[in-house]
Amino acid sequence: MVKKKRLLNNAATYGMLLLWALIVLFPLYWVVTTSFKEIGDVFRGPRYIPWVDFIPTTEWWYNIWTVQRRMLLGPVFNSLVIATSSSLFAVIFGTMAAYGLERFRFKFGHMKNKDILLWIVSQRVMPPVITALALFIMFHFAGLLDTKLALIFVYIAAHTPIAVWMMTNFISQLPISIEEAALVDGASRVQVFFRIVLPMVAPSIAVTFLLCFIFAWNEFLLALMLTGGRTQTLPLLIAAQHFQRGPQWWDISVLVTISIIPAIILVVSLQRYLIKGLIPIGK
Amino acid sequence: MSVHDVANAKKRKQRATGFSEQRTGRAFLAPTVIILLALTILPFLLTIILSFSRVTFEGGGIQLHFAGLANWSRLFADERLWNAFSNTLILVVFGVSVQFLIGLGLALLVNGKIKGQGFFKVLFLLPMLLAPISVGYMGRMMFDYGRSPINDFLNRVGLEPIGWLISGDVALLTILLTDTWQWTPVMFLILLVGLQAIPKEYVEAASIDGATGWQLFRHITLPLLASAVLVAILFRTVEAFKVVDIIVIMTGGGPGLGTESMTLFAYIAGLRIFDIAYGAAISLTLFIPVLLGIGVFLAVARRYRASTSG
Amino acid sequence: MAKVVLHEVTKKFGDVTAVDRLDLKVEDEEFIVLVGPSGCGKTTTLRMVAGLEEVTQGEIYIGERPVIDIPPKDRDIAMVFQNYALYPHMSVYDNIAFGLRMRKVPNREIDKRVRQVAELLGIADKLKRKPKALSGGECQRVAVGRAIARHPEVFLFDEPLSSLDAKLRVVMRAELQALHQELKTTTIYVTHDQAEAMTLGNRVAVMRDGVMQQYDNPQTVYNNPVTMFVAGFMGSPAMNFFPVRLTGEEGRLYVVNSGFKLKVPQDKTGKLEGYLGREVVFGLRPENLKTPEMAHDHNPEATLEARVRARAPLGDELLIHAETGGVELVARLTPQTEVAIGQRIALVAEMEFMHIFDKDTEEAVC
Repeated sequence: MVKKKRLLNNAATYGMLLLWALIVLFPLYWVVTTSFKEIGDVFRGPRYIPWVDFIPTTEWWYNIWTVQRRMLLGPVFNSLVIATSSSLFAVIFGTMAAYGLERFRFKFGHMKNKDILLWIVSQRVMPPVITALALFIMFHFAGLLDTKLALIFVYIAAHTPIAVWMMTNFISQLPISIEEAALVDGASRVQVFFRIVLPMVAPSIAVTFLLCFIFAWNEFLLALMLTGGRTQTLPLLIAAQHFQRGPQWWDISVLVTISIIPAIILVVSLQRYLIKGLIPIGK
Repeated sequence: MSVHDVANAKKRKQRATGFSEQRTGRAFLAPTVIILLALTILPFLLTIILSFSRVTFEGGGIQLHFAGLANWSRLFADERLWNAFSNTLILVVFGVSVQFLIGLGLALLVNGKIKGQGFFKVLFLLPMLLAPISVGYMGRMMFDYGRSPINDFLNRVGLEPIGWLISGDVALLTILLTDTWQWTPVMFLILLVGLQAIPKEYVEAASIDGATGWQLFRHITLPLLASAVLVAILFRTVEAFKVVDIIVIMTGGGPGLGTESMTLFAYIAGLRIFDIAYGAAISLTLFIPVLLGIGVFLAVARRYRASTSG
Repeated sequence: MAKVVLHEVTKKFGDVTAVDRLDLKVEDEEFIVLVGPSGCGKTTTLRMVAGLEEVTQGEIYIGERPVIDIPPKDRDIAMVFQNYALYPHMSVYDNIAFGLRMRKVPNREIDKRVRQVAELLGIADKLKRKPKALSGGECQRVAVGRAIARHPEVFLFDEPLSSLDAKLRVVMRAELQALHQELKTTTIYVTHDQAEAMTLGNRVAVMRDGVMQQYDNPQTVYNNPVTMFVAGFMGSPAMNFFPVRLTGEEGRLYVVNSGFKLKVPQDKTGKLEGYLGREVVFGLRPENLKTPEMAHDHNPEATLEARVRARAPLGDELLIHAETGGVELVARLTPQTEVAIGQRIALVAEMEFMHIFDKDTEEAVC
């Protein structure tokens, strides 16, 4: 009896897990296969399985690589530059602030360490559209509209709170005595930070960087509002497909597939760290 | 532990040395504070000013003129605001609830003794890391009227196809489903981390005491998971108010204004119609429900905590 | 090398006083031990000397130099931490060399010193390893090596042996002793382990609740504790305390309670006269309670009767827990002693080792 019940339980568990797995996977499968479909196969109703109900073509991927390469490379380059540099600074600033908050005692007015951390993290609460219009005007006056620099600045501001949050979590797990040993050994605070703390949290820094990178790589609204033709990012290019030419699903599928590659690399290579270190509960 | 112990431990955690290294400490904090002041707080204040202004463009420049409450009185009379507001609220309330329930279910399932745990974890996390723009396109390809797999499926089981994206009655639901596909992973992640932090001994002790299934969950797991639940719902609520990307791609706010969110409305008014001041006022109204929602939720959570710990 | 002086040093954490007007003088080349239960302020004191904790009030001198405004890196001290605090990303070599590099010692000199120290501590073959690949004892040696390679003025040890297992602890204790013999560096050593304090220190400072109770050589602290706290803390098992009344008969003094009446030796009576007829606390160490056979003594004025409640044969000795006059006592007997639980036995108190404490102030009277 008990055994039967357990078996039933197990079947239900795996059934539900597989159902959600299917729900997650199917759209991904669909977009990837669509990038290999002839126009006719796209428009003549859903075709599911390559070589069974449609013959795959590499035409669109070939196209992207040849005819449309220029169109693609600019935005990919912009996205890479913007996401890399903004995440780099966000992580540097975030790590510094996290270290400061974990190891020094602050008092600005009635704000102490905990309040400062809360203040920094709570910047994420603000919907970006609130600042975007004002940023539009600020960058207009600064002559930075439609430049990479503008987006880099904005993404640093947007992602530093995330970096502070994550790095605070990581740094709080370091035993203080190691740094104290270095202080007694003759290192200054700055030397302790660079020669002791940074090497110890290097893996965490990598995780934080990659997460910020993904967020910057994916960001759409601020890019839409603060850039124009000169600094199109990849999400803007993808969104523009639909505005400009109507849905050419085969091309769109190629671009969407390209856009999700970094996320897949990240989640597969770092799943251990992601789950362990991302969210400090109950702090 | 004595009083001394507690006090010592506390202070030691706080900082390594007692030296007044105020300046060094501030230097560590400075870049973050400066960039947040310059690019979050300052624009926020500017937005408030904008909402009381009239913006004109002459000679390629932008001029601000004081306009009193003009934008605000116009806004509160604007039916489009209430439409966008209710759309957003529906997406937040139903989206967060559904995502919480699914996320909790998945976290509980994955946290059990199952094979392929790593695979499920990776897969269930993936959607939150995809560009919302791309997710929007995937949603469109799934829900498209004529050729989509979902309508094909309905057709095969003998149901009528649904105009997921073009029917005013269901378009918002379609957005909600797509949003759920993308953001359930956040709930899943936070709750899974919370579950993994619960020491096995508690559950083991309770099951030795004779608790089973639902009792274990209700009296052991759920109370210990409370702070994770709090974080998860709070975080998702804040994020859900910002919804815009997938709407832009999937429906453009339509049919009619059926799926227009607050952010989309503010964007269209501000940078499409190019009434920046009006857009600023719209965007600020988004801040009020966000803060209100957080306030109410925290108050409820505090009362709940007080009642369980007391 | 230098002496260390703490002058009226106070440390407050908010409203809590962790260290209260502490005076401590450590002579040049001396090895002193700060000992006390956890939370007594001993580690805080050490950390103030290191410069890792701010001094609320008072002054600390290392050598002739007041140091409270000098950061740790400029105090010329070396510290060994409880959890070793080795730099996890550096090899053993780099761990030991780090302090020297920070001080811009020339590379050749660094190499020489690292190898010297590694040789001295028997870790010469481990220099390329990372701390993760070392055993607890080896980590401990590296931590010590890191401190001595620097040739500092003062060594600070913060419970360095407490994470080692019992056997290794005894070995390392001996090694630290030998090391101090050789290097002669002034050392302040913090521990909660009274046995460690007794074996290692030239002098032992016993602390409680931030206040120094007694500061003297180990034998004096053990034989003549100045307070009930010190008496109870130093020595294991702890000293037995009995509430008694001091009575006098025909010029003789007795300590009396419901279970016994014991005669106070003549040479102790002088100090006790003021307490005649009053309630005091009578203290006697477990090893000063013996069976009549062990003591070769049947003097009824030194004998008490007790009922055995538990026995702990430890191999080389037998501890018995017994009860007399409603008070628990522990006696350390020879392992051959035959006693059964529940049995009443006679115990001879070696009254020449007795202690009397004031009931209210808990200070020693004699």
